[in-house]
Amino acid sequence: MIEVRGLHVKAGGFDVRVEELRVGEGEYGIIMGPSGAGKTVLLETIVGFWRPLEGRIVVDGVDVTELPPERRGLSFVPQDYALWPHMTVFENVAYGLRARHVPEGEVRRRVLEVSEVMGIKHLLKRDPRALSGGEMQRVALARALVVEPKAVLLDEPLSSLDARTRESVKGFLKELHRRLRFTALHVTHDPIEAAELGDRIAVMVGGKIIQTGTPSEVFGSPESLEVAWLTGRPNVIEGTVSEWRDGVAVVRASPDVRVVAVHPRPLRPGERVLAFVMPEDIVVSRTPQRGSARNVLELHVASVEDRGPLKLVKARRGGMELGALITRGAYGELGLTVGSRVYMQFKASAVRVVPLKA
Amino acid sequence: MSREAGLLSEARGFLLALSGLASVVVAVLTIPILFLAVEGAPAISEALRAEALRAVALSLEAGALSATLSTAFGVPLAYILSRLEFRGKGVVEGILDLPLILPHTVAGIAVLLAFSSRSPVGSALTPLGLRVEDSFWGIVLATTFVSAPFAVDFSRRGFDSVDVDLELVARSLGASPTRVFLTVSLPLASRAVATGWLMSMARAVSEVGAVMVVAYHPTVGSVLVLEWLAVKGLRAAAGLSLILLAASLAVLAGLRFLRWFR
Repeated sequence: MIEVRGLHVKAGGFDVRVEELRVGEGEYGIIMGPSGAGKTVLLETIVGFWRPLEGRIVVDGVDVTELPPERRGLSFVPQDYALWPHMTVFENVAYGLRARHVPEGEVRRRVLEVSEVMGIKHLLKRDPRALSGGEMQRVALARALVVEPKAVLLDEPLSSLDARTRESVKGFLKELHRRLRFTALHVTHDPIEAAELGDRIAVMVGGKIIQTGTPSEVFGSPESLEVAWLTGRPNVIEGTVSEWRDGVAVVRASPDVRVVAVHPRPLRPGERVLAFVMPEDIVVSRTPQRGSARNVLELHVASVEDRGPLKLVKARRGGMELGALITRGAYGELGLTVGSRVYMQFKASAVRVVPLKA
Repeated sequence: MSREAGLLSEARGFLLALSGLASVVVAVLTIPILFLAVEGAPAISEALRAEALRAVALSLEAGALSATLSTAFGVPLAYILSRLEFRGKGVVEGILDLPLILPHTVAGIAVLLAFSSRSPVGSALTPLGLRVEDSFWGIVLATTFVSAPFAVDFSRRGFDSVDVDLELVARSLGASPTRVFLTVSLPLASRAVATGWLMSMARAVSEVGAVMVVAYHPTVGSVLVLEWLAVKGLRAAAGLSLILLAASLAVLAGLRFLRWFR
């Protein structure tokens, strides 16, 4: 468990003040925020790389504020994984155990054990420079977990991966956490990543945490405009899976609103989920259009905002609001005013579904 | 062909002008060496006398020792300069630059004043057998003074190139700062440290001015060249110079090997 209280740290040009942050035992905590929010400085202060001016950092009930990093029991995984290029994968993974003077036989046993779990046993003799991004990620995680830390701290661990690898690594990370239930604190700027992985999310802006809560609380009820803007770029629809078949899920958001989404991984009927759709993926029309879009929702325009060369049309139906970006030309042709009836259409492949953790 | 080379090869006029100017430098560096080889070759048998070989061996021995001392004490300084910001850092950096710009005879006089047996420091070292005037230790001290900045500078560049995250991860996994230095930072900077050692050695072997002031005897190769030039003439000095040139080429080959052995 990690607790941060009344922390004030000035480092790397950032001024970070955190009244309270808590990641429970076995919980996957997320610090989400835009670039320059001070997320990495906060994470690095918890690991022990920066000394705070004020405040306490408590790990598993022990105040570690004054302790050097090597005595805090926290494993750090930086953005680029920082695998040591002059060591083999085995030596990388074994490093923490050897630093703790674990007997060599035990080192070997534990490295093989964690490598089995991570699926990197075949890579142990390899040079880390020859690994793919996904493989590097697994090795970095193996190195962090093999020492059985009190928590693993990950700094934007998916941001340097290509989109395809990122998806697969994210799935792996999620499954790994489900199996091992290690305590984690993960920094990201990606709201979908936060929603998908986090048990709890702390939203950080300008060096301060401005909201904490479960993904459902943060995405469903943003407490400030800053959080809304940060999380609200994609439209977020909370609902329950009513059906999943052949990679297509049907999510019921309310008795009369259902959303169809492509989702390769199976979902259980009744499972609570968040469905994300980007404003630029929504087509707006005054009448239902024939086409390939499987989602056609009838709503009423609530507001129209300028977004540079585009217009953001926000429309509501019951408690649900969707925003769509359209060109100024289309806006003129549609003749939209507040209260107008519109149809918002989007493809099932444009919808991302993220299961909410129980 | 690289993108830059491709672009340049199209600008023929510009490339011709560049090549013309560049060849002047290459010629200035090459022609004297060629003359040395041609003129010195007939005198090489005379140069391969015990006195000369002893002097060259002494140069290499003292150079290797001063490079090793410069590296041993220079690497910690290089690591501090690479990793820490502190008051007076600029002064330390300036002190390191000083031997590079100081006339070498002046460096020799400074070393002699500080460490001769009449100075407070030298009088403390003399009973330990470390007398600097006209001694092997004097040669080592004088060459260390002029060559240490190379060891520090190259090592520092090596540490600068080691991503700090590589060290931070090791700390978080339970390694002490000493262990991190010995198992992560130093191995990753080792090629730069070795290059610094070689450059430092080359600088020490080539030193004349400071060595002549501090310890004319026992005579090192570079000083003997000057002596032969005065006593035996240009041709004899060229023969001995060829042997020192071979030693320098060996250092150059070592540097090339380090670059190749990536």
